[in-house]
Amino acid sequence: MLIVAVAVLTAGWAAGRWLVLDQPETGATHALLFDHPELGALAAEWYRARPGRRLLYAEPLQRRIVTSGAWPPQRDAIIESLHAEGVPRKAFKALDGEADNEWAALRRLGRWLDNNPQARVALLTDAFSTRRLSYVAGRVLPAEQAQRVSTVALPPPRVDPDRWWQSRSGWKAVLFGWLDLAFAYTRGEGEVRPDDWDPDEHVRRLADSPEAGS
Amino acid sequence: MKHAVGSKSADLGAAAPGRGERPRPHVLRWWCVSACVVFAAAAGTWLASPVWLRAASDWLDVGQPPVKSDYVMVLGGAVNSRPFVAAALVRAGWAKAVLLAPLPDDEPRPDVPASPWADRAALRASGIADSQIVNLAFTPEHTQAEAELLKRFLNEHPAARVMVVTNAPHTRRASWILDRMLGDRADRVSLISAPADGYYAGRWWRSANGWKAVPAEYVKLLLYRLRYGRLVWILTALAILIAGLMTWAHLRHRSLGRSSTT
Repeated sequence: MLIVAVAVLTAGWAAGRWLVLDQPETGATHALLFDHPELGALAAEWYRARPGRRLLYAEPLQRRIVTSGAWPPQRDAIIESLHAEGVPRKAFKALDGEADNEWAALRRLGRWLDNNPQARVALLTDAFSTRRLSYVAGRVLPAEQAQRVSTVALPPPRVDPDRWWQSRSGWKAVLFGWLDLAFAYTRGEGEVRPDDWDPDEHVRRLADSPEAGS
Repeated sequence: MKHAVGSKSADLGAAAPGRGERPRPHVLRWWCVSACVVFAAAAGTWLASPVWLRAASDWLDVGQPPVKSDYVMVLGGAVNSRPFVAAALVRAGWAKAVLLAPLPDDEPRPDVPASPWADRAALRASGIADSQIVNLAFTPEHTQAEAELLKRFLNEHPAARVMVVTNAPHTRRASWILDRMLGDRADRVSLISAPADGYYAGRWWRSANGWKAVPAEYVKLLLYRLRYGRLVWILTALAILIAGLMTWAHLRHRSLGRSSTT
C-alpha cells in the first residue's frame, strides 16, 4: 500500500515537473514576455535583478474585449503595470505587429534577432508552459537563433509546481499544460479563430433554431 | 509449422502444442494482447475521424433557444464571448437585466481582462446600463459555486426566470451542476450557448484552444461526476466486482491445477 502511495505521488510530481524546463539564462540581454496573470510584477522583478536589460513584448491578437473599447490593449496595460512597478518606459520594446499565438510571437522574435545579432533572449513564461515554449522555439527559430534563447519558468499563479495536486488551480494548470504540449507535438501551430461572429446575429440564430418554441 | 534446426529451436519445437492439444496460456495471452492492440488502433482511427470528433463537441452543447426571462446570468470566464451574448439577449428583449458576481475588494489588473471586472466593462460597452446589472451575493470561483449563487437568488426571487450564458462545450457540465443544485428550481433556468472561445466548434481539433476546451471538458465532467455525483460509487462497485471475479478465477485455476496433479 505504501509502495503504491509513493509511486502515485512520484508519478504526480513527475507529471507536473516534466512540463517545467527552466534553462540557464547565460547572459540574456533581453526578456520576451509571454502571457501570465502576474506578468507585470514578475517581469519587473526580473528587470530589477538585471538592471540595464530590456523587455520585449509581442502584442497578442486583439480580442473582442479590446476591440469593443471595453478594455485597454494589453500592450498599454502592461507598460502601465511595469511602470507602476518601477520599470522605465524606455526599457520596454514591443515587437512589430500582432501575434496570434506563441508560434507567431517567436517568428517575430526571429526577425528581431536577425537585426540584433548580439542579443540573447530569456523567454519568460508560466512554468508549466516552458517545455512547450522551448519546443516551439526549436521548431520556429533557426538553430543559431534557438541557441540564443532560453526559457525561464515564472511561478504559476496560486500553484506550487511541486505540489500541484493540492489545489484545483494546480490540476487545471497541469491538465492544460499537457494538452497544450500534446497539441504542439502532434499538430504544431494549429489555427486561431478571431472573434469574427456577431453577438446579435448569434442570438437571432438561436431564436430561429428548430428547437425554439418547443 | 517448421522450426529452424538448433538446440533452442528444437526445445521450442518440443514445447509447441501438438495437434489436438490445447494452446498454452502464454500463447493465448499473446493472441489476446495482439487482438486488443489491433482493436484499439482500429477504434482510435475510427474515432479520430472528423465525424466523431465533431460529434464529441456537439454532445457537450446542450444549449437551448432563448426564452422570455427576467434575468440573464453570465458565468465567469471567457470575457470575449459570454458577456457580449448576454448583452445581445437583453438588447433583443429576451431578458430585462443581467445577473453578475459583485466586484471583489482587490483592484482589477489592467493587463488581465478577468471576470467580473471585464464582464461589467463588456456589458457597458455593449450598451447595458448600470441599472440593468444586478449584483449577486458573492464572487464565485467555479461553476459549482456559481450554481450555489443562483440557487440563493432563485430562493429570494421565487417567480424569477433566468437564462444562464456560457460557452457551448461548457453547457453540459453546467446543466448537470445546475440540475443537481437547483432541484425543482431548475425548471426556471435555461442554458444559452455562446460560441466557442477562440476556435471553430466544427473543427476544434485543429486549434490549440479547441484541443484544450473539448477534451478538458470531458475530463472535468468526469471529475465533477466523481466528486459530486454517484459515479464514484458505481466505479467502486465495479472495481470490487472485477477484483472479486479475478480472485474467484485465480482460486479456481489453483484448485484445478491441484486436482490435475493429484
